[in-house]
Amino acid sequence: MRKKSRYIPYLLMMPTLALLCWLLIYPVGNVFFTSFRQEMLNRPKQNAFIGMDNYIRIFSDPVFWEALWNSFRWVVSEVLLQMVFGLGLALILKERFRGCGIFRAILFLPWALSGVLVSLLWAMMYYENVGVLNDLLQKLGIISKAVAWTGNKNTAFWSLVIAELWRGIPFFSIMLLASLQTVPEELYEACRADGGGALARLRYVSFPYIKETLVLTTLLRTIWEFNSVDLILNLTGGGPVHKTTTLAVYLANTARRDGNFGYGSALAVISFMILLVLAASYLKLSGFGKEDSL
Amino acid sequence: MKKQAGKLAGMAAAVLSAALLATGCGGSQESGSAAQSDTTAAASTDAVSAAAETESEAAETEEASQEVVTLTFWDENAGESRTPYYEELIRRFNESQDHIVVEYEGIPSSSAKEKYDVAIATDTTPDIGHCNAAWGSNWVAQECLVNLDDYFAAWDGSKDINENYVRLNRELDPEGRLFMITDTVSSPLMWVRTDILKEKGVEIPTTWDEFFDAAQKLTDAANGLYGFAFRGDSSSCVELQHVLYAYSGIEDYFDDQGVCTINAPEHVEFMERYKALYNTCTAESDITNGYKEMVAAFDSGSAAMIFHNTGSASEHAAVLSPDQYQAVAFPISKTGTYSYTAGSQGGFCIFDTCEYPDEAWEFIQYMLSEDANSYWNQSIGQIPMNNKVLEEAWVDESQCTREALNILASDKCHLVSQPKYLPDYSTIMNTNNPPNFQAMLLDEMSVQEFLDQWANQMTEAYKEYQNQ
Repeated sequence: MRKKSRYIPYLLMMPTLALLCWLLIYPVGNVFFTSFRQEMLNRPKQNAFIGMDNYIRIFSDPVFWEALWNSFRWVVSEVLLQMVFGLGLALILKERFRGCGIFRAILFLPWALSGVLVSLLWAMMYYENVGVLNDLLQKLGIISKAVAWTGNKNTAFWSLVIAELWRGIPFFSIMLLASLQTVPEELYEACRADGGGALARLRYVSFPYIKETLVLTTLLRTIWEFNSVDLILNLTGGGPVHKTTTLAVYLANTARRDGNFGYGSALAVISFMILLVLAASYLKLSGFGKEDSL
Repeated sequence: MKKQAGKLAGMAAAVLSAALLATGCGGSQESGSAAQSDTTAAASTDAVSAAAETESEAAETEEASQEVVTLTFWDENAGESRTPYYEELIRRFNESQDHIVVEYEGIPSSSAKEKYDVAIATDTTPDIGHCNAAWGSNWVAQECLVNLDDYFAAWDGSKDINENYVRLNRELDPEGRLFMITDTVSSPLMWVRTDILKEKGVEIPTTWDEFFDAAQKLTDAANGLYGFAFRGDSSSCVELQHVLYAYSGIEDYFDDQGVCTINAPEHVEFMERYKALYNTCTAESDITNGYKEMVAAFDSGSAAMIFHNTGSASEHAAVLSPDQYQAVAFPISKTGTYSYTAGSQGGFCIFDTCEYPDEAWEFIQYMLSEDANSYWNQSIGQIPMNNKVLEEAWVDESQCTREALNILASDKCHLVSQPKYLPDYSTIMNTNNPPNFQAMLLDEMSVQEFLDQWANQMTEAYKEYQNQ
């Protein structure tokens, strides 16, 4: 009887473990394995184990370094700006005012839209000749000549940042608003009674409560933004001249469009390693979860 | 009708097998001797059991022929201007069949190659695919297509199919086998907004000098009008290649030493002039223009001229009236010829995952038949590959088809064969060089450097192909 009960938990775990192996460990392991091979769809007879060749090629590939730099500035600008605007909106929405329900619903709308739809909306706004943005700016006298927002090498990247910002801010707002609503009102009153202003209330009352959420949301958003491809592929395809090619876009184009799965897998492994180190360092530095363990 | 013929052939084969078995002609020596000693009881027993077996086989064959076979067909360029016509043809085919049902699946052109590649890698290909010939050599190398030689040779209608394109399809395989059959071809042309040209008092260009002059005269950037719009996306070099050879009149893609001619001095000269159009006679955003953006610029009247093949005819016809636009030949080349790179050719193939290749071939045969080929090409405004269709009245009435055929029939026309058989062709044309084209437009790379890199990649790929 005792013997039976010792094995049952393991038996019950088996289906889940098998599923995890099948859906997670095998695909990830396969990516690592493929990264050491030449796996090209257009040269099936030459596919073979090539050791570290893909990795050596990556470090001498100028497009990789440009894509890495683009990924870095993409993630930093997106996460930082989304967090700042998201927090600001969450603080506004926390207050009770007439029509706040409708305002909240409208504000969260971009988050509910698909990436392709968002791309189309922004593409229409950014069109050089018939786009509403140029029309508006010309009528206001801000610009005299229509700008190719996604075609100009100086504006393409920041045009994408703005479009992604529009989509990403609601995520922070939702998460931070939920967190802010758990702060007891008495603490704010106590802070006010002690002469604390708005900034003091934010720093000494709100912030300790939302810190965990802030760490988690920024980490999640960093990973998502690092891997984001839909908006970039649809608006610029990574161009002009790789000016908007991030590592994820380069990876997608290499593996999916060119059918070079070996090199694409090596890029995926590098991306995975970067994210792993980044996430571990961030969680360590932010002290995430330490409050719970105390 | 064909199905009945198939059934008759099946029955005839069954009867022939029975007769062969009964007479012992088709069996081993043992059965042969048994047949010869027709007086023995054993021989008569054998004959009875063989006949019974044959009957049951024939019944099984008959039963199998009654089973409904469902085939999946992928269209690599689905959209409003094509899908309804495919659906209509498939409806007609399905109605004419008792035991074959073809199911249509449309894939947008932007993701078609990837979807096919993933399907090949995972053995989830459709039974029948329609695809761009440029992908063919890659797939032949992967050995994922069914050899169509026997089917094509046995088909009565094969004599009506354009021989040149059958030859080009054979070039996709180093051994010259046939894995793809072209049903439609789009010829590269220049589209002009005749209404805008008339308003500005500009004649349709017939020389390249006139073309560059016209682009300048037609441009009125302050009012959002540009003389020309080009393509800057992953197909930019495909469009460019047509124009380069149309300008230079160079007749061979590789010279006698196997060196690519794309960086010939004439092409460098053209590129310098072409580059000068960017952001002066074109919109700045053309650098990332896809097909849709380029066609939209033309149809909306913000660009007066574009280079594109006959494939965009239906899009223009849906928006513009016939007196507003026209398809015209590229201006005559420097050597006085119309040097044409063969346009995009789309073709049918059967994937090796197909369990019913005979039925799949039935469908391909139908699509290449005069009626279906006529309906399809008339609807999408392209050049039919069934020679009988070329004699139909609509071909003469369709302005762009007539123009394309006139050029191809001209004594001055020379077809430059594009090396679509190179496994790296798609990568060189759609991946490696479009970013360089953008860099060249933005002065981050010189024209010479851009064309040299392109030529070197092609020469290398050609050498590798020859060494295989």
